[in-house]
Amino acid sequence: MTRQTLRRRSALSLAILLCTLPACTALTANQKAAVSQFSASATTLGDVTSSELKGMRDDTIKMTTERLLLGGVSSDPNLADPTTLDRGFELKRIETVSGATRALAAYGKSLAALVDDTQSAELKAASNDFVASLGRVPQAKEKLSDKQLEAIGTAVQEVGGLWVEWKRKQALTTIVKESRGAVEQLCDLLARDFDPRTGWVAQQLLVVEAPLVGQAADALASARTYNDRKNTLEAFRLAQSSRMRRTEVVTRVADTAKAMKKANDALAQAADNAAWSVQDIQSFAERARSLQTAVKTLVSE
Amino acid sequence: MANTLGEELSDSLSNITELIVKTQSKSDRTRLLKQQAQIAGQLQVFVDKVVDETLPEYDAAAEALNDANAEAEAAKKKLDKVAGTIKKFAAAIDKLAALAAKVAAA
Repeated sequence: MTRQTLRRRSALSLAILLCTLPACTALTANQKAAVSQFSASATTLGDVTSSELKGMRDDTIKMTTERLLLGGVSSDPNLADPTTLDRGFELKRIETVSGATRALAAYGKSLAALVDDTQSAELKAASNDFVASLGRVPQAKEKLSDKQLEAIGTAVQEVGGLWVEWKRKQALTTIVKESRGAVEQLCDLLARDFDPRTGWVAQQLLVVEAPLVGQAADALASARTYNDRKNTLEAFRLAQSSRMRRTEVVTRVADTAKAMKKANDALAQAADNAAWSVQDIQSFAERARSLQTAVKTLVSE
Repeated sequence: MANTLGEELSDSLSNITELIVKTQSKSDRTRLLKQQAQIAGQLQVFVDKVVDETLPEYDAAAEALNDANAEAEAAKKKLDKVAGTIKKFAAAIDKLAALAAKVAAA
């Protein structure tokens, strides 16, 4: 076999590799966009839920303090007293659930980091270095023209890019499949515990809020001065803010968690199937936006 | 079944709170406040029991997901290494060229 034949065969192999690999191994632009949308929504759900749990704890301390100021220690020993102002949203509870929601946010950020193209510029710089080094080898300098060196640089860059894209898809597929069980379980837990009727989060908020409203109503009925009424209305305002969290925010967290479960299922299926359905991912994104908007409205109030 | 108890206690607590807000009689309100505290206390005990069972589930799921996240981070680092590998090739070629020049000069 002559050297020329060998060179032709190598060129042909490289051409085939360049032409066929991208289609079968890389993520399409639509797939990348869908993963990015999913990632952003997962991050929103995780981050907003964590910050809302902290808000619930802060509100609990304020509401319990206000109840104790208005009515003194409760006749029922199971309710909070001056030594347990955060009763119901103790640090351990909040940290455990927040740890889980932060893991969901981290999952979203990990997927986003995997699909983000941070490699193109670095690959170009590396292939330029490679070509420059090759040009400094005397034998190569004698036999290769500048055009040929440039072609080698492009090939190195493209093969490197293909390798990255192939590994990117492989990594994404593995992570989504391996995380599927844990993500589904966390979504189920959030959907169950943030259910506005049956979940413990709403019920716990009610345990703190209702006795405060009772004491505030009693104090308002006996109030004689502007300042008396002002104090009771501050208690009603706190209870109102908690009620908004108990109804609006809690409902949206549960709905978004349910939507995330479906969207994650769509992601996992897409890893095996080229037909990528974005409908569930878009629905998840809408829920996440609604949650974010509701929280922004409550915070600005 | 457990959820039904939570729902019933929640409904009772909401209803009695509404009654307290609406009632005009001080003595009725005092009586209702005492009953409200009892119901709230029972709901608190119920929630405590539910949460005690729930927290280990969160811990287990979060741990599994954190492991997967660590794997994703490692995969991302591997992707970042491709450009580094090409640069290493370039450095190796430079060293070879320098060596060849020395040999030719000798």
